[in-house]
Formats: sequence, C-alpha cells, structure tokens
Amino acid sequence: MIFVTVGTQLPFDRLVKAMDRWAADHPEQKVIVQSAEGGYQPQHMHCEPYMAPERYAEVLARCSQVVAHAGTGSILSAQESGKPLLIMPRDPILGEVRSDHQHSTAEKHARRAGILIAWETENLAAQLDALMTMALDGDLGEVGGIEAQGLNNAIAEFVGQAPLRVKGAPCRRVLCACSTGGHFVEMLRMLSALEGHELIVMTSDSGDAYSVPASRHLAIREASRWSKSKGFTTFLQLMFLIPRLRADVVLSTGAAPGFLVVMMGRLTGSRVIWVDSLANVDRVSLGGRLARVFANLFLVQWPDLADGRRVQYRGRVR
Amino acid sequence: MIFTVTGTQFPFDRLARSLDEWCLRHPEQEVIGQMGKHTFAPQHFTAVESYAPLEFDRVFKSASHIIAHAGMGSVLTARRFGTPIMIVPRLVSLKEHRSDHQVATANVLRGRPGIVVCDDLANFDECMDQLLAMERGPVTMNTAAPSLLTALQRFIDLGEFPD
Repeated sequence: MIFVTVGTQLPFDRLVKAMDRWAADHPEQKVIVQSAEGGYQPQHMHCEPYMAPERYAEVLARCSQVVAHAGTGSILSAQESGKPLLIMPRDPILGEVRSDHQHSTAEKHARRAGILIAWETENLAAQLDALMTMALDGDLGEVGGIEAQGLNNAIAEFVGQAPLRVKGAPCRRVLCACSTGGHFVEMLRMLSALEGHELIVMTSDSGDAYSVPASRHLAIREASRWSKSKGFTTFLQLMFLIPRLRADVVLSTGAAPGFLVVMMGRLTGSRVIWVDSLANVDRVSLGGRLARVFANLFLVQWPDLADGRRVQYRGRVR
Repeated sequence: MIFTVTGTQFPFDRLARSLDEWCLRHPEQEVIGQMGKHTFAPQHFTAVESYAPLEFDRVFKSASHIIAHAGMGSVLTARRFGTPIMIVPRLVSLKEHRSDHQVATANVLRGRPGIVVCDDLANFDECMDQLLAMERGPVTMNTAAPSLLTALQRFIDLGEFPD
C-alpha cells in the first residue's frame, strides 16, 4: 500500500491529482491519501483529508512506500518509519506554499539513499516506478525486507550511515582477511562498521589496495583446497605474519586464506568474527564449517542457516 | 556496452563460446569481457584476462548490461550501479567450480529486479533479449545492512555477543 501525505496546513491538489491519475493506471496498487481537503476529490485512491496521530502512525506503519510534499514533518516521519520515500516540493508560484523553502528542502534530500524527488508532476510517474522497485530492492533476501528491520536500523539505512559507535570504546586493531573477488566485495561493505579502529586489510590480490586507500593493505598468496602446494606457501607466510600483526580482532568472509587467518588469529589471542559469504545459500561454506571452531562470533547471511545460538543471522551485506 | 565478468579463478569457456556466437550474430553490440584464464579465445568480442580494480570499476560503471557467472561479487557490484545483470551458474559436473553453490545462488536470485538467470545456455539468446530489454535501475548503497554493521560494532567495541 502507498501512503500519500501532503501535511495538514494547505491542500496540494497538483500532487493529489497526479497520484490519482497514477492510481487509475495502476489498479493493482492500493493508495491512501491524506489530502488536507483540497478542491479535488480523488477517484482512485482512498482519501482521508485529516488523520489523527494514531491513525497517521498506523497507516505509515502499514504502507510499503510513502509519497509526500517536501514538508519536514512528513519527511522525518517517513524516514523514521524506514519506508522508501518520494517527495514533491510545493511551488510558491502556484500558490501551494508561501515561500520556496520546500524546494530547498527537497534539494537537501536529493542525494540521500531511499529518497526520490519528483520536481514536477511530469516526472512523478517515472519516479514512482523507481520507488516501487526500491521497496523490492531493499535487500537481496526478502522482498520488501526494509520493514523487517527495527526502527533505528531503518533510520540509519535511509540516512546512509552506520549506527554510531559506542562512546569511549577503545581503538582496536582489526585485521580483515579474505580472498579477492566476491569475498572482498562483501568485506568492503562492512568496513563502515570499523570506522575509528585501526584497519589492516589482507587479501590475495595486491590490486585490492586501490579499494582501501585509508588503511594498510597486505597481499597474501591465494590458497585453495585445489592447490595444496600453494596452500602450504600461504600457510608459512601467515605463520610468519599473523603473530606479528597482533590484531585485537580478526574479521573474515572466507575463503581458504580467510580460514587460515581466523585459525591463527584465534590461536594467537585475537577475537575472531566470521561472516559466511552471501553466496552460501543452503549450506555454510567449507571454510566456514572449519572456522566455526575458532570464531567468537559466527554470522551467516541467510536466516535458514542460523541455529540461533552459535550461528547467527544479523542481516546481509545486501 | 555489455561487460562480461566470469571471475578470475577458473575459466568459463562454456559461457565464452555462447557469447562469442551471439556476438557474431550481433555485430552492432560492443562487448568486453574479463574472462580470467580462459582456454577458449573469443573471436567476436574483446576479452581481457583481468583488469586492475580501478579499471574494472570504470568499465563496469560504463556498461549498460552485465553478463556474469553467478558470483556474489558480480551481482553486488551490478546492484551497486543499478546495472541489469544476467547470471550463468558454474557447474561442478563440467568442472567449472568446486561446488554447486552458484546454482543455489542463482535460484535465490531468480525473479529479483534487474536479474536474469540463464541456467541453460541453449536459452542464451532469449536470456540476452530479456537482459537487453531491461533498463538501468536505482543505484544502491555500497554498505551492509545496518543490523549487521551494528552487530560487528558491538562485538568489537564491547565484546558483546549479540542476542
């Protein structure tokens, strides 16, 4: 269900009319509009001119997308609800508002993730199409997965930041170790959680250093269970490196070299986190099954793989 | 431009062959491939063994469509740029990978926006038509779910095992 809200101070018939036209073209979509009693009577949407706060909260909680004028109140409440948001600013020239402030508000939000802007009714339909895919796109796993997460997470998601670090927590040395390729793509998506700590990123390709400019990158040899001789070289290399790095925390997404680092890290006093790759849908990876013995925190990215105790699901790299 | 990515670990000649034949019939399409250590040399599209990461991102970003093995790196990168992607799972039976996890990956991704799954290269042409009919979708953030980031932060900062 799509919730359209124009605030309570002034009607915004231009938006309500355009939404009504869109609703007529999309009979499969249920649309509720809070319209502030304009002259226009919507034909294809359920209309409630004003909503009591409880009713407003209920509709907001149940909808999958929000369309709003660029009023701060509407934007904030939509963001808190964690729903994808499309905003259209009121135009003072058309008498929809007294000043141009909604235009600046919209501009301010234009680059934020989870927020789309329709500057004119002409591009409203195209933006609505994009908005509908955003709900589906929130997460690889669940269709409309945004709703599944808690309020704070949803806010952080839309503001595009990682949640705040614990105040006063010490800076730790975190060693992120994984193979190059997909494992590294997944690792990169978690680095924002490690801001404020000393990072060392270890992958099996020296070219990956380009992706982590602010931190130290170490290249190690790739090891796989297909190549025992290479694996042995990697083993020796890590035997030398890991005790000297003295990481407080080791984080790995796999595969074989990741497992070796996790094992050696744990044995030399690091606390160890394993995040099993998103690619492992119906079974934890081989590296993961081995790493489970050594990991202090073991996360999987598909809920069905979690056992709720040692093996946990806390969300995906998306 | 269509960019083809098959990972750099193992060759994926089966896909390279189908694509090469398709390119012969579609000379109007510009196709570039990062094909890893392939043993089959394509005649009708430009194949590179491996791009440096900077160059890889540049080519990926400028591509209108992506063809890839069913590796999560390719899928996540395509989602990041909003680029429609066709994925072909590697099969153990043809010695294309160590396990059949790409088949499972492809199965959970089937039907998601911007993704075409091609399980059988006999349907390569239809899958290409589907792919090329798709337009660029919204750009998504290059970060993990906040719930996952929070779990990592709390564990590192406080040593807490999340409930």
